Amino acid sequence: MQVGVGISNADDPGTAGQLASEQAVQQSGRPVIALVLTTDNYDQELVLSAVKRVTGNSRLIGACVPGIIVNLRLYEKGVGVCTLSGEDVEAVTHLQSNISECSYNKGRELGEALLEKGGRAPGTVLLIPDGSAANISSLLRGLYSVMGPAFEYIGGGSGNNLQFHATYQYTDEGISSGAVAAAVIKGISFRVQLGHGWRPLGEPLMVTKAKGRRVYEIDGLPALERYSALVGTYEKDDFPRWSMKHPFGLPGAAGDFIIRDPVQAGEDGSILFATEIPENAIAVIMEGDTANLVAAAEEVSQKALNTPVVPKILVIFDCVSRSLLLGKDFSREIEAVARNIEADVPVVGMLSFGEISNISGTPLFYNKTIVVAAGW
Amino acid sequence: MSFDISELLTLYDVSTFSLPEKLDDLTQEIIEKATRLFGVCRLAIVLREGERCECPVRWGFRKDEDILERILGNGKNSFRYQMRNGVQGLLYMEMARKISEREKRLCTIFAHRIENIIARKYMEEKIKNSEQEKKLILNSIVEFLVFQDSNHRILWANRAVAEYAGTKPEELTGRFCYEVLHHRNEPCEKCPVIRVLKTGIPQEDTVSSGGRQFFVRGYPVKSKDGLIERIVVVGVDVTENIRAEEAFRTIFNSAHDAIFIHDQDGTIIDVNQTMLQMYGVNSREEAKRLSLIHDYSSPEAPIEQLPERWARVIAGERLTFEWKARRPGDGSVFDAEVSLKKITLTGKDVVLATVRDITERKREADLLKSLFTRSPIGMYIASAGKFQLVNPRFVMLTGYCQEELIGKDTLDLVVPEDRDKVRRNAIKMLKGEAAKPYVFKIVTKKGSIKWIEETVASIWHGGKQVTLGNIIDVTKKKKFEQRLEYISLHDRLTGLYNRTYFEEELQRLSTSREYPITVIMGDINGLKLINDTLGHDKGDKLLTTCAQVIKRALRRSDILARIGGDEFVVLLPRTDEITGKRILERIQLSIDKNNQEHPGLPLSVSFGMATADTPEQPLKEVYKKADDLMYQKKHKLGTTSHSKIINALLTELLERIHVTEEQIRHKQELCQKLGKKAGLSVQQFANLSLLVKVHDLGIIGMPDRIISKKDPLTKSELKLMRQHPERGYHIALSSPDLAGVADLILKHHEKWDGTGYPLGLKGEEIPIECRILSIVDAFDSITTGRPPYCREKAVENALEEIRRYAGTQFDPNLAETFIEMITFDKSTFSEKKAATGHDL
Repeated sequence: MQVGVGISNADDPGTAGQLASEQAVQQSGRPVIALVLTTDNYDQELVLSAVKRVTGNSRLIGACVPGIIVNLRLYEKGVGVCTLSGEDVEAVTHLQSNISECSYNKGRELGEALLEKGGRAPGTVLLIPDGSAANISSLLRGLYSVMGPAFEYIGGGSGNNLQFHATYQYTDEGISSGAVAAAVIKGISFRVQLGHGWRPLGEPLMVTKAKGRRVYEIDGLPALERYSALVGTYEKDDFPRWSMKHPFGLPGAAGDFIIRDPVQAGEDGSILFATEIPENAIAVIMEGDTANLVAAAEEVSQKALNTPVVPKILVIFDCVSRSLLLGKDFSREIEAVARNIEADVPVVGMLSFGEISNISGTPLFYNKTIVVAAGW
Repeated sequence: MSFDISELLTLYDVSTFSLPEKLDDLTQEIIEKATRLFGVCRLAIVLREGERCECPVRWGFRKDEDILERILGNGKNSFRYQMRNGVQGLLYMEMARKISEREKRLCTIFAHRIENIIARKYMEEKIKNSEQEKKLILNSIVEFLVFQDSNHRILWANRAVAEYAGTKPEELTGRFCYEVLHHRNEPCEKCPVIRVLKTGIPQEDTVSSGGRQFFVRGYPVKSKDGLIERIVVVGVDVTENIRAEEAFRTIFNSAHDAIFIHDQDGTIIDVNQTMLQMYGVNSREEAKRLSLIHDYSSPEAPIEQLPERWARVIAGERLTFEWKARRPGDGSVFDAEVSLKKITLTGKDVVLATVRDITERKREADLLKSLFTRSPIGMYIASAGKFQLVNPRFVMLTGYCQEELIGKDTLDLVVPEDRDKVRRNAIKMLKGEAAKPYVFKIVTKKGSIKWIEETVASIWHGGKQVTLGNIIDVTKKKKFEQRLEYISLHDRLTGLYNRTYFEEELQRLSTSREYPITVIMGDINGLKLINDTLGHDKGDKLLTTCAQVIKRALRRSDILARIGGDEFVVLLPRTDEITGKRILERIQLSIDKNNQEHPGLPLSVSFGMATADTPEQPLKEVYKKADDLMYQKKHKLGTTSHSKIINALLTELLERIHVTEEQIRHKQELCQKLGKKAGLSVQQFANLSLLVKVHDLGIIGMPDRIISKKDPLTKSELKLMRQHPERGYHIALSSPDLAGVADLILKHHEKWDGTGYPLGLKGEEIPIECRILSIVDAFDSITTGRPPYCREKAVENALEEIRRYAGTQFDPNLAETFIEMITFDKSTFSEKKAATGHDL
């Protein structure tokens, strides 16, 4: 397997797409599949056309993201391309639209399409959904109910740096919004790890009324009222920046927590989360600091890189809220990841709106987490 | 054992199942918690329902077979939980890693929680289904079912009530029963609910509402302390039942027969109105008090048989028998027909006895019996195709005695060829499909055939359906009809078909499929001549002979008809022209053969033949063509045939009047000699010679008794005989050979003085040939003794006779010449005889 990565922050979308993909293809040779990541300052179609001119008829998966990580450097503007080639490498892609509606069934349809195109032989399912879509967890359950445990599942939600405008997902089949771009890649083994560095704070609470991403009541009280009581007062307009420091943690039996990020206060006293929270779920308020977050990233990187052979690629899905929270210290997190990587291993990644991994058993949608996958 | 906050939080989460109504939602919740809390990658819940298992929750499996394989496996990553010790089913969970003891503990609690939830869900489901079933059952029954409080307010009512009230079941709740169902402002007068509330026990009654009748029963629903809290009301619309019962009662009372309804022991339960009238009993109650055996039966009737019959009816047999019934009031007895049958009435076995007064019927039966015996029509009663009863007339007609007929198959009397027809006609008449009597032939005991006209009818006799047959002997009528039919279609003389039949057959054949059809027309030549000369008997004989001769030459399928006086026609179906010619040749040969065998009167027939090959050629035209051809032949043959006939007739005549050729030649010689002396021309000589031979041609056809009569003829015979010159004249005219002498034949009995016949000519008005013949004929008659000159006279006497009548009968000059000629011949003859010694 050969891997190529390229990055261009040229202003012109065509130029950026072309340069980045040329760099990548130069390293990998004719690609089987290309991962294309762009930032929202480009005309996505023009970028994609430019990339396709270079990668030819190879499979393609990508999205517009808040930030692109290429070779351990974060780009808030640019086009990043990672190409994979090799005789053993196989890839199929599928673009499933309107995933907010009947998410479970859409997940099943996606699974059936991928199996039909790529067969049942094990592989890695790379998923880039619209991070702002409702019920991504339900989508993943539908997908898993069809494809089952024989596959690895990784991915991250696309978005545009908390602007909550339309986001884009694409494959070689085209561009869409409110969709999930998916690929099954075979011929590459990944070791996946995830972590977040958040710790529980205080007593448990119960989400007594919720629908999708919006929580209406906590412990039988209006959600915002109860949340404020637990974490203290805040400036109404500054809710996102304030709440990102106090996410919810949904406990797991193994002692881990799945983080749910409150992103918006509703006029009706509800709270909109980055990802849905099931009604009647038990949660705790989490807290974290730079040191813990960075340490978690390092630990994740270290575990992921514990591969039987030297990995040929490292893929990172790092939650955008971590970068926002860490600010200029985010570079420390990148450095922590880099600490365990050999110099010539190509790295590609994105700031994500939600992260996907099946490390706990089935594919789940995480918030405020870093997922690292080392491939060989 | 370790215990931490995450375990506690997990337990919290496990305890917060939301118990959604739908199983799908519960399934999603189980999977969500299992995957989030325990990292489960495969999960299955297998539920057991008796012997049957189902898997309502399945996660991470591709197919059902994988579930069983995993459950039966022994993976360290798996967790199994037997719900209700396996009775309820099993929960299987599998994780991506080895399960720790702590996780097992939490999984057990999780599974236990699911176990309880599922059990509860199933219980709820069953209760829900059970309630639905109960409602379904109650809504399915057609009876009204109302659950109401003590104020008649409806708490629940089934669909039958709602449909009757014209509303939805749920809209009945809270409304008053009497308001909804009966449109009243207060409870119905006879409502049993009122009495239920008073008495505390179930009550029932019939309630009328809106023109309908309801049978209503109310049941109290009591509290533990015995207070009536609710009432269940069940109602049935019995309008139709009541109407039916009323109708039954009306029919029961208006029946023509007396009806008794008995208990099985014979006790009378009920009687109808007719029974009271028939038996002269005043009331139903009185009728019921009386005994069937002792009060209603005559002692003359065989009472001892009644118990036996009663037992048979109780056993299920239906009996009908005649009985002497008794009127309990005045003791009078009448004939009755009793019918007994066991029936079930309102759930109880009873005996229904219908009694019909048959006094009149018996009287009629006697009358009928008398009619049967004395009827001038042959009558019989048959059952199952065998004679059961016959009247004397029938015996007389068939010739069999009564004992021989009873039990005999009715069709045995019928001639075999008519049996099917008789059977069919009888069945039709018995079914009422035919009313006209049918005719057939029977064979009497003596073996003679009789024509019988029969009608049959189905009647009830001796307790069963039988056939009554009436027969009349129509033999004479039938034979007359047959004769009439024969005559109408046959020629009486020849026995051949006649013109009527021929025309019908021609019409029939013209639309048949029997083409080609050949028609031969035949016409007897000279029939008129024969009729005129020999009389119609001879002509008829010739016609009969002709018919036989032609018929002999034909095939069975050919049709020969006489269609006119002398005209015959032959129709040859399926015969082409070649075959037709062959048949015609055969006919001609048959005629020739006949003429050879009977040389006297020759049969001569002219024929014409034509053939129609297809139906496109109208048969009438073909017939006309054959007729035309026949006439052409006849014309061609024409006079030849007449001459032949006349010659034949003449030969026969001469034999009859005993005139030989020798005599004719002698007379011709005398005439020639006298003619020579009279200076006749050659033609006159020839005519005279012929006249000698044929002048008596008119005698042909005269009866032998006149011709051969030795005594003088009577006046009438003489008159007849004197017609022969004219008859001869007419015959001769029809023959070219004789036409030249016809006038001479007519005048050959004229006399010189005008006293001859038929014209009374005198002198030289009479042709000389006739005058010569007159003298020679008289001389010959006298000298040969031919009638009327019976005595042979000598030549001298003959000459003397001629001399005496010269100037009166004979031409005096010719007479003188003839006398001289004979005298001279005689002297010459004597001299020659003397010289030779021989007669000449």
